[in-house]
Amino acid sequence: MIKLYDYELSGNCYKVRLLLGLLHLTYERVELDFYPGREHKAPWFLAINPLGELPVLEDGIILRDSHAILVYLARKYDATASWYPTDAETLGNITLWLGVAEKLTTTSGAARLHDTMFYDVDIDKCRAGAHQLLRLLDEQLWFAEQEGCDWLCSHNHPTIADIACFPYVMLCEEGGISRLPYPAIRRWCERLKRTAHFTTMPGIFPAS
Amino acid sequence: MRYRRNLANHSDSAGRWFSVARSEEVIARHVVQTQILGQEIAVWRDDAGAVNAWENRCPHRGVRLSIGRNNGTELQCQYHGWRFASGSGQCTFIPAHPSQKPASTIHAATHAVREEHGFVWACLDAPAYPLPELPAGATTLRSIVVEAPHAAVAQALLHGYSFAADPGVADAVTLGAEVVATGPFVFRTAGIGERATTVMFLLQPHTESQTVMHAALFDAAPAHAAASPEPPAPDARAKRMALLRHHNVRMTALRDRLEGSP
Repeated sequence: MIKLYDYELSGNCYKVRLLLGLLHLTYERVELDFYPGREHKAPWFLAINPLGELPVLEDGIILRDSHAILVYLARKYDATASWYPTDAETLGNITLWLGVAEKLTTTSGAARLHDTMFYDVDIDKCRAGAHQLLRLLDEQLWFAEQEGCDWLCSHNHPTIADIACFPYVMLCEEGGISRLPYPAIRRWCERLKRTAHFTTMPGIFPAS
Repeated sequence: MRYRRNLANHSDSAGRWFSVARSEEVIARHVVQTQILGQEIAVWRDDAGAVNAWENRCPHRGVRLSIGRNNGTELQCQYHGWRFASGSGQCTFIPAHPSQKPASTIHAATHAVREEHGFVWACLDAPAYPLPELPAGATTLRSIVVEAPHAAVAQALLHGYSFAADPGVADAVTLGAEVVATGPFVFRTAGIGERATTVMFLLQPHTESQTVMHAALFDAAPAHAAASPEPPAPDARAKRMALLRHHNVRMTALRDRLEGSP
């Protein structure tokens, strides 16, 4: 069975749980005490992931990095190839937005670690960086809507790019980053929440 | 009452209608979270199409109603599930007391709300002014949020706004238009181009330091009888997108100048 090394409150782990749920996959969770236990830096886990980062997936292979895991799961288990389409334009765009998602982790995600788990980061820089990304995302989604497109990279179905960007957008207010100025993001979040088999996490409510 | 104090500091804003969202963005079964001078508002549309603008606070425990659920006729609080009726804000159901009719004194705080000219408008106190007058046939543009007080945004607008009347055309020329204030929060460009295209800006002060520039474009149809054969009509959709993108770029540039961004 698929095994996920997991932490309930991690947005990056949540990305993987979200896609596992959307693909109706059953899996086993190995929950680590990330905070305050720092179990992800324990020798037994460093043997699995030398970078000491969550999540890690075991499925015959061992794979770290949430975005690598999203690509792997979508390619392997989504027979319709809707979550990770292979045409050149969509692939290019997905890779672009996975990059934005990574930057959301290091800005919005880091601000949340600062506010909830007392990490030492440049909080003003993190928040300013997050707002810059949220502006970009809101603009992208607003014009997509005008073109009759509900998602970041494809017209009628979300992709792993939507999943990758979603958690640290939805959790940004836990890092003191208001989402109030981003109405198009708000509509997009709600569309994703209404997707069949959507999974929640603490701080992310089901669709209204 | 924090917002009343804020409004007292802004005699200009008392009794005014503010555009709070483009109509088409207040979609079914959704709750828009916005604010006027720090007073948060939950804006939502019921399934019959009527729009509500309520104080964004459940009268029970003060939780934001914008994280609640729009069920099409009521807004339900996320916290204890209290439901409030579209229109009156009257509490209709308290899950902890399912057999009791909620007291008539329990209701969400409602604000005066209107829907006209492609926008939803709210007024936080008793409306003392009519809605700003806008010409018919607006194309509402993407609203831009600026990290600047509304007075600074107004000042920047009064320096002029340059845009192209036909941004979809290859040789479109961007021209500077003068801007005049037609109200403390409403600005209008002089017409440019053959059809005297104008843009109206409607400022929504989110807070003391953050302002939304709503905008609508008015482009009168060419008023000439076409004896000569017309050029092939450009794809209306592409033209509309070019228009929306053009003004998004122009308004974003205005924002960046105001915020002192590189």
